[in-house]
Amino acid sequence: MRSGPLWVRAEIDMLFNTVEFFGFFVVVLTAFYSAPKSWRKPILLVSSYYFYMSWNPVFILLLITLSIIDFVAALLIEAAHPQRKKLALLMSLAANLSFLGFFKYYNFLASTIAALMGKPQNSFFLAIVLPVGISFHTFQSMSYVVDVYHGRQKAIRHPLDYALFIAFWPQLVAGPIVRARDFFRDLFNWKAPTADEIQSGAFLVLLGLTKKMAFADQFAKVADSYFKNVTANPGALTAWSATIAFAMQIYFDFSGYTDIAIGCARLLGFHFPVNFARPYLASSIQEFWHRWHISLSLWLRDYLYIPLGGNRGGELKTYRNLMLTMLLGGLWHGASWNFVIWGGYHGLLLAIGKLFDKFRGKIHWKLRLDPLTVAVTFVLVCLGWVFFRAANLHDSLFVLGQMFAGSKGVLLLKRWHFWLMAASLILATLEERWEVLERLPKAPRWVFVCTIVAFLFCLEIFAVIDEKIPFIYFQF
Amino acid sequence: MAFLKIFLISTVSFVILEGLVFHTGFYAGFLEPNSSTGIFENTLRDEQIRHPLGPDEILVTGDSRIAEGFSAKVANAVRIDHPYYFANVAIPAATPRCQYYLLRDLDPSRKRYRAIILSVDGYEDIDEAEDLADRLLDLHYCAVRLRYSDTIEFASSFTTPHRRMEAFRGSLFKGLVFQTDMLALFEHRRKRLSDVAIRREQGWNWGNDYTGHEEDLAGIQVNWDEKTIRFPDAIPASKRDSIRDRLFGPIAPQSGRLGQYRRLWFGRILDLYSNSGTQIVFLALPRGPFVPPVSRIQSPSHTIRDLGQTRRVILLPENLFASLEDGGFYFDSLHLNARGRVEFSTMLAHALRSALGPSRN
Repeated sequence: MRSGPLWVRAEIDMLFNTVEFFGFFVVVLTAFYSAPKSWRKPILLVSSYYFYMSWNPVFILLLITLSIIDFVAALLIEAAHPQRKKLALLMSLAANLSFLGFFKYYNFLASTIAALMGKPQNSFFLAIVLPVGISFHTFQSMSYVVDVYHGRQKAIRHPLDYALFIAFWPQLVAGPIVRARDFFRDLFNWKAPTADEIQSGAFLVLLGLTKKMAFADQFAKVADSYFKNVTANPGALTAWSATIAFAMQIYFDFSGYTDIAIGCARLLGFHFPVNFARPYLASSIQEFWHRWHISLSLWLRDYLYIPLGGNRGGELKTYRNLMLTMLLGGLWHGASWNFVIWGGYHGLLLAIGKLFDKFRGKIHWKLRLDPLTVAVTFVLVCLGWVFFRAANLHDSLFVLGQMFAGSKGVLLLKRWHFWLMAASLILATLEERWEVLERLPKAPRWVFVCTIVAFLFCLEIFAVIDEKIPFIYFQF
Repeated sequence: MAFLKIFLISTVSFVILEGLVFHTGFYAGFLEPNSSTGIFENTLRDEQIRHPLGPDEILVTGDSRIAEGFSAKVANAVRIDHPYYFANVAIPAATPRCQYYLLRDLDPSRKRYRAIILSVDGYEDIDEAEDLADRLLDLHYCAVRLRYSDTIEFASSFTTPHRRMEAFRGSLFKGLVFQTDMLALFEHRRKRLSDVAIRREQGWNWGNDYTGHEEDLAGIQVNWDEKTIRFPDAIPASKRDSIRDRLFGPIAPQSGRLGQYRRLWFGRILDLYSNSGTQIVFLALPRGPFVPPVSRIQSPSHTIRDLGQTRRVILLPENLFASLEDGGFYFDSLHLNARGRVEFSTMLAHALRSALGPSRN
């Protein structure tokens, strides 16, 4: 986990992969389905606030304050004279961005200013605890207000409905970023999940747990041991294997979290959007962003890239908008120059990709080398992960230096790590071609049972249970 | 309902598969021989398949102090004037809880041995820093031996809720305990299989022919009043630290937990043999190379002596091995060396001759 002088994190207690969480989930499910319909929303809201307060009770006030601000702002926007709509929107955005800016970026800005003034980095430092999931729920809330402003969404009349939209626990701390129209469609026309939905929801929870505990956490051990002190482990093979380990960790960690979130929501009768679609099978960076953290990519496209002008103002403006979107997307992940560089790096790759596409289109160059382009894309993504994972810019440059000009080094990955990667590649390919996991609940019963047993067995053998490794995206 | 059916079938199938792999002893055949579980299982297996040496066998149990300090081969060599045959199933760091599960499976008929020797630090219950009841290592030692019916009992014998949970989880789903072992097996499959085969072929001989460490601690002078130790140059720094710590280290608060632990696990061992002809014998190990003139701790309880009065057990005299409490017989602060091993084994053989009396045949 990233830790450092730029922010202080709250202690995380209720992780999705703990017994405490599953106890909580069983209680919520039981209460939800045994209560009269009119009680269900309050049950979900109370359980969501309880879930959030298990991290840090004080910040529930922040969550409630933001909910009230945006709830009122949306009502004002809808009711106001067209000229005053903008004022209400700006006030709402300012409130959201102020909270986000203070909690997430104050110390980053303060240390940057201090450095520019030649003062010690912590001269203006404040011991700020970062509220869990603030980046996710502020984005979700802002998009609602913007949608109301543009008339794409009606303002919600009941404060409890809106509070639930912001606080709904499956997506509260790390997404996926759910659009208001999708959430309220489910909330207002709630239907009990079908048998298929129950099966697929429960299977997603198991799949997510396996991804997190058996895959992500095993790779995390390798990546963490390397990145906590990169200079102590020189060598190209060392740097590459640690970076690949992190690439695996972050994918399995975040997509595992998302699977559990989607599965839990589905069991409660809510439908979250797909957030990952086998991103490491992408054959270009553009495609990668269509497959990785999809709810964020779409959010950035709809609420940043398009409002900036998108690709409507000519080539140069398109590249500028791409760069700006990705730079801000990088900064959204965390308050450090490493994230800015990571975003900029992807923006640059996207711009190059666009240029390349244009060139390729002109000469009708048709290559059928998918495995090669997939491999090249994966390597490019891995190079970006170095900035994402390393503690600072110095470490990032050291790792990159080792990757390309270091001594031989040692392979940090064991043979069974490669087995895990091979197994997931096979599963991903099968899913890509035939959607095997998606269709599993409809498969013959024995196939479904065998798959569940295989996942349980995999969990028993590979799950890391003696260490508490938090989900990476909880820090954002 | 369909989902519940699938959930139930999947859970049952998983439990069956898990049970077949880990609860039947199948995986035990692949354990790393030098792991905690591997050492435990190999010791047990060696003794299970050993050909009987004679009608009156005596089984000596204990931890590393018996593993280092007692030689069944030496004890059997002095058999000329007594009728007993010795076997040694001491396992480094094994506690009475481990010994209970070992004995339960090693001697299911409770008829195999004339006597079983349980070695203890002393007959007083002196608490040490580590709470033996809460030692998770025991789960790793006993993992293969634990049955489904042991799960609750085994887990509840731990002290803290966290450890109880771990013990419960591990005894139910043993794959969790064998994770590291399995990952190492995946990594070096051939080497593991070869190590297992070699251990099976040679292991018993290694133990039986082992003669002990040659080094000693002769020449070390302890000033109990000033709490100082003078070491000869040959003693390495690591050994000096451990001796210093053992002689003058902090004393754990005496809460009576060792007494409670001993009552539970020695009580269970005695229960195992309550209706058998096997005699349980307690022996107090020599206290170490350097013994303070006055004991540093006065214990309020003495479980072993109480058991001696209430149950059918023999307590060998507590100071039986006092003559071995000398640096010349030890290679570190705890363990007898090769010379001490011979002396201890011979003395024990003679002591049991007089304690147990004539052969039952």
